[in-house]
Amino acid sequence: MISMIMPNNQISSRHCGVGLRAPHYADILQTKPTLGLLEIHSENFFDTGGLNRAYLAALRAEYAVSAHGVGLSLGGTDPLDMEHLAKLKVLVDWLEPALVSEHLCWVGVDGRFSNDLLPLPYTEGAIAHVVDRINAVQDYLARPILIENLSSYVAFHASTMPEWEFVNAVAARSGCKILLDINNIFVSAKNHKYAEEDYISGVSSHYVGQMHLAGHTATESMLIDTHSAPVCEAVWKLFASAVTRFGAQPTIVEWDSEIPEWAVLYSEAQHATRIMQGTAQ
Amino acid sequence: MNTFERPEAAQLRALQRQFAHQIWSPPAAAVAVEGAATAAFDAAGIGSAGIGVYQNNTRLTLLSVVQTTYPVLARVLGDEFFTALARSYVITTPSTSGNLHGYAKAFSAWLSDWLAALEDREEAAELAYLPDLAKLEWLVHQAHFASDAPPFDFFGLQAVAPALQGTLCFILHPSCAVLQSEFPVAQIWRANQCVYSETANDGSDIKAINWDAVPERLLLWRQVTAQFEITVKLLECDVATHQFLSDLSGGKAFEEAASNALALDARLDLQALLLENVSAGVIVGFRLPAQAVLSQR
Repeated sequence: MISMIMPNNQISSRHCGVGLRAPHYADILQTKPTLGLLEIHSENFFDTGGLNRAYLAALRAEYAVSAHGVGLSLGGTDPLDMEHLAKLKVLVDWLEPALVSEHLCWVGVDGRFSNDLLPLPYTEGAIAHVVDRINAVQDYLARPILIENLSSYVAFHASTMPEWEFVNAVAARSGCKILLDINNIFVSAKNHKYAEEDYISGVSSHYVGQMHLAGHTATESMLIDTHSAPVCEAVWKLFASAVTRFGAQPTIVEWDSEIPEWAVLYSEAQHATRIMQGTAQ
Repeated sequence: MNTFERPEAAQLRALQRQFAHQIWSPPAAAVAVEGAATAAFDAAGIGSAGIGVYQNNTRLTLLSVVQTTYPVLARVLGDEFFTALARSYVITTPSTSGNLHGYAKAFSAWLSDWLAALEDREEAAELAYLPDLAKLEWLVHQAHFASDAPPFDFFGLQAVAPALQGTLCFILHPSCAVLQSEFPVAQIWRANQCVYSETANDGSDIKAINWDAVPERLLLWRQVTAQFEITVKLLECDVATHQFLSDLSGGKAFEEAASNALALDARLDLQALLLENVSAGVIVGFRLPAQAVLSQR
């Protein structure tokens, strides 16, 4: 496979970026806004032709791009899906993304997929299992990956440690970095009734290599990670704490359902940039 | 090969099976076994509502894959009826991949089974076109994502010795599909390409269809119309052209495809047909059988 030989693979940590979604392809290409990073969902580009790929190639020539997977099931107990991983490698070899990430979760068992991001129990056993699989993926891709913390709606009695200790241990033992989703921290903290600031101070600053921001939805009994709304004030505040602790990391704003006009998402990214540059009012 | 032999993996697997069972149980059943469930997952003040989020997310994710793949079916059947069918598909059709792209592919076969089991035979007969329409929509969907093809190599074709030209196998664009239906699915598909309006579909689009203009012999493929602009073309073919393209698509050599087509219509202008399909981007390449390449040298 011939790669695209793209010069621009430098992530700007001075400017935040966005999750790249189809309704915004043309806007971004025409207006060339200042963005530190464009992030794709890897699986959306496993097919190798058509308009999606044409836009991605054009945008990749202008921006640093990261590939974010939702389907590899790093925490799953079915054998690692080598066909899925092979497709990811073909994409990564072609795209030469600045960062490659996956979720710290499982998505199915016994060959049946929920295609939702399902939580793990935070145990020594689960750490050992996930580290084996992350190592297998990193060896196969011949590069380190980042793993993202989830929003969750249940907790396991079996858990023996807080989530941040689990995430730290996985990163320490596998050599992967942490993609810290600030909104997911907030959602899980509220759902499971712990202080979100404890999570920020609990994560080892040594391992954080990227951050995510997004909007969520509140129901009567919990918060749900819907990516269908602006980032809320409390999450902006938590992001500011995270920037203070982890420094300016490549950051994107995700918006996946009820996707707004480009100007709305761009202004969210600009707000994130102002916070990251320490100039937020 | 099982590389995950740690004892911890077996424990984790048992927990994941219990969790998955909760996700796939109908909501009422999930509540009924809640006592058992709380042995492993905690309420954390959220209770069964927590599992409910995963049940919902899973179903809605799969449902939206079906909805975005079959917009014409949705328009023809009306949102309510279509969504009910799509929901049943989601409940009865497990997703078997972490990549959702192929999830809705089996909808056509599922609709066939559903029609076969329908008690109201009159309704089943009225809706008998649905599986073929679904198949057509799937192929249109696929055509959008199929691989790109390099431009046709005219110089290479000129270099083929005349004696070998009959053994050439022409290659169709990866987005290309040749199909046939006993129902006017292309007519239905075209009649429903207008932007979905808020007003309820009164079925008038379906009434205007000429149901006697069958069978339909169809060719579809993706065309690049401008930079960042593509269109999926859908053409009705005469019987000989359809046979010819269908043979090429099946990998038959030019000689055999030509003789099959001429048997159906002796007046068919094969050279014009080839040129037309090359310039339309349907035929994108050719190859010689391995022995022919050797003997040419």
